Amino acid sequence: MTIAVKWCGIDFGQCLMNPGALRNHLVIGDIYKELGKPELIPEGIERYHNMKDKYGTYSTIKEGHKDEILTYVLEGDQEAMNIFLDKEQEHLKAAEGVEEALEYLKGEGITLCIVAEMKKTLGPIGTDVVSRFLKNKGLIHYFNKMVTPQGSVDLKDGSVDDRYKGRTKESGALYDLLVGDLQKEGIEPRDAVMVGDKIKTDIEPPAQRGFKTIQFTGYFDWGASRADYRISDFFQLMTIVKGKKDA
Amino acid sequence: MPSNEPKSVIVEFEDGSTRKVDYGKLSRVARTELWRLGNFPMPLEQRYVVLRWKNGWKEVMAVAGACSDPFKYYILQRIEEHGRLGIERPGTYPAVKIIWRLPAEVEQMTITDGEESRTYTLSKTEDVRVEGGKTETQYKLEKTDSNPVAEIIERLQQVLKEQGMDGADVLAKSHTEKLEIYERLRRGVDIKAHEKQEDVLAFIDLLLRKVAGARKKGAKGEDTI
Repeated sequence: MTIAVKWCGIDFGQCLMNPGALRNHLVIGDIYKELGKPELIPEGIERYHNMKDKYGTYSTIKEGHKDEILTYVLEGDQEAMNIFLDKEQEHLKAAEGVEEALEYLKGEGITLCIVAEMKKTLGPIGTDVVSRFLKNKGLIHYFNKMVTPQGSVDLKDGSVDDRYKGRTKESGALYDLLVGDLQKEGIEPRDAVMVGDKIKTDIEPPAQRGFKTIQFTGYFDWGASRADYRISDFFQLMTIVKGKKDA
Repeated sequence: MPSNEPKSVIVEFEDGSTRKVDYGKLSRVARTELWRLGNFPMPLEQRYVVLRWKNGWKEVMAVAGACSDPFKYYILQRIEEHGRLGIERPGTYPAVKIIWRLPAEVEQMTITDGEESRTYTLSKTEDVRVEGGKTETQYKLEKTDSNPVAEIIERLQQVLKEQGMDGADVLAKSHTEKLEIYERLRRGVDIKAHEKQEDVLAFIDLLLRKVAGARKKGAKGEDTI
């Protein structure tokens, strides 16, 4: 059995983006090797671990305390921070099968969007962590929009739709607006599928609004949900999803 | 705190010349080494954690004086990959070096003494299960004619030219000046130390000697790093 859709929304962190390859010994290691101070690597890693133990997860650090990576972990060294931002991108990987799946979905005539719970204010395309990743990995051309609580960005012309500001995935307010916008394009929620890992942001809220949902468990399995399908890699999307043509 | 803190360390050379460095700028490792050699204060911390295992084994570790109480303990489980590079040492045991950085992406290695270089390309062969439940991904090393050291030397010459420097002049500079220049050259050539910065700076020194046509070993009185 397959899902026939016209629109597909894909979550970013721990879904489209594989965080597993982003290892401290690589990022912090590369920073201090580039700076010519490899002897500082263990101390830098230790400070990053300290921060992780303070805030709980690296995602929390990235979303709300990135400035402390500069001030605390890298001891105020702006050159080190610039290298950090480059290395973070360099070592982040796309999930297995992403490119093949995106190529397939695009070929099926399905509109692709990133739907991310981004907490940092958006700048021009390529300056936030999501669009920079998509650009660096050569994936940005597959997507029409990047829908976030900081605004919905048209990835073709860079314009930002501010109506989405403050509307989160978890509250469902982001999906409420998305439903209306998709309907204006002739896409009903039943013709749309959301792919993501977190039940409370990627599965429950869109499912409540009539979207089809696919739970991605490749990096973290948050448990049973009402998702229509569960997948552990993106290759599986090619056997589950197909394009819906108007009758 | 010791009442008589050391201020500096003076190193005396064979020719009677001396160099002085601030004791306060020494790393904890260097201070510990001096303490081991005697007559230096123990590198004290203000707090210690004593760990006790179920079988009574106890270990002590120093922590910063600002530390108050433990608040969490957890165990991480993850498959870690590291490369092990075995290098032959005729007549004795081989040297083994550990590669932590993306070991599966290493494609080539060159062993050189500045005069001779031998380069090997790596190609993955098979995964082998070995004792202890480990998996070894084996690689074949094949000698190749490519010489990355020659490319590095070429780049070094370009950087020297761009910065208006001459290899022999650089070698004749003082130790401190050389360290600063070698670091600039390293960045220009775009090579990094695997673990210890002195390795890559000494490598630059070696190549500069080649570039300058100087003899391989530092002549008497020559200020090597």
